[in-house]
Amino acid sequence: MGSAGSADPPSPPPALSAEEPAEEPAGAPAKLPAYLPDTVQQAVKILVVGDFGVGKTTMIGSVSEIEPLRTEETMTQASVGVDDLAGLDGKRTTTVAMDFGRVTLSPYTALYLFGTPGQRRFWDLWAGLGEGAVGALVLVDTRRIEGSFEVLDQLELRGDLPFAIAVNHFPDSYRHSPQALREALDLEPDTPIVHCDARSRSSSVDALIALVEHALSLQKGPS
Amino acid sequence: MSGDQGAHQDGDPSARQSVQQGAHQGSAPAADHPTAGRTGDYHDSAVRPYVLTRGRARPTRNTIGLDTLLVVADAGKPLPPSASRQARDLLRMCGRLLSLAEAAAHLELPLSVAGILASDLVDSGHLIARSRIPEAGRPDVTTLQEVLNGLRRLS
Ligand SMILES: Nc1nc2c(ncn2[C@@H]2O[C@H](COP(=O)(O)OP(=O)(O)O)[C@@H](O)[C@H]2O)c(=O)[nH]1
Ligand SMILES: [Mg+2]
Repeated sequence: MGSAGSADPPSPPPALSAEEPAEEPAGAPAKLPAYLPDTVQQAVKILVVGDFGVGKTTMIGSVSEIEPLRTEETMTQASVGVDDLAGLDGKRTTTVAMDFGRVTLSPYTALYLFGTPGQRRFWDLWAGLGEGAVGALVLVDTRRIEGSFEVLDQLELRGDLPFAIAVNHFPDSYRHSPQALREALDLEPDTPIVHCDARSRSSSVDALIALVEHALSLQKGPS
Repeated sequence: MSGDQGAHQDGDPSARQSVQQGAHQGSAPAADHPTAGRTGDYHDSAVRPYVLTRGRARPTRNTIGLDTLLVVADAGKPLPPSASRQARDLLRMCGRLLSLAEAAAHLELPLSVAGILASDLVDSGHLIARSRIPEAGRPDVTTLQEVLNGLRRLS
């Protein structure tokens, strides 16, 4: 559907010849973004959550059709536990960088993957992020299994976000049995556990499939 | 500084909590984590006054999310002279279909600021927001099935 305005791509800023272009922040990308096909009508999102260093960025990069992007969200001082500051000038916030990627699944639907830190101090972020999401894929590094506890706590506290566990393997990981992991992570019997290699696209996609299948079965109701 | 001061104490949802204590020092202060400094996943900073958004912290409509798809409504419709440079940049960025998150990332705007600007541009008829999954809702069975089929085609 060739819409009228789409013939000319976004043009450079109108000539403000008095101003120096050098004002642009150094390194600001001049190239055009990778736009979605005009046919896409809906976006869905999946959160990729887990401790630092567990492979979130790697997985997003493996699956994304665009160069993964970073964006920042700020959290209020309350969420970082600073309570002794009053005026706006004195407030501090925590800025969280989230990376995300995109894959167009059909002419109609695009999927976004948002990498979200799971620690308790970032929970405020989740309120908006989780809204309308398909679910969360929880990356777990079995060498630091405790690193996933706060993520799982948050998911249980929310209670409304379907999730699946993807165990990301590192060279020195010990291979736990699914049952041992289920017990260590205190998971419900129906929470999927899959193994993955976040560096592999097909392995990462398989983990996402496990999550979506789970979300679908929850949505369809108990059978 | 220390991540410990940030630990929110509201609600201990599960038995995991007790186990977690032992690992707490390893996981909470991100600065101690080997990858935290390198990846720079977060940093603390003074609040920048929200001049751009005229002091508002939230969009006027809460239907704009980071996965909301935006596209220019009417390429010819001019912005009022009072419009900020950031609003102009956002409108230009959305000359074709793009999510709010992508537009914000390319423009290096914080998501919350980009959301408020986008919301205003939708209200003023400059941008169109394509449907997103309803607030507090989950994607319906049809949508989930379509996502599943799409992922299976990739694998
Ligand atoms: N062997 C192995 N290394 C991985 C895997 N996933 C990530 N890594 C590495 O682990 C490190 C941290 O990954 P990253 O994606 O940045 O973690 P994040 O902090 O969760 O975003 C990087 O050096 C990755 O190359 C994996 O599946 N296998
Ligand atoms: Mg990362």
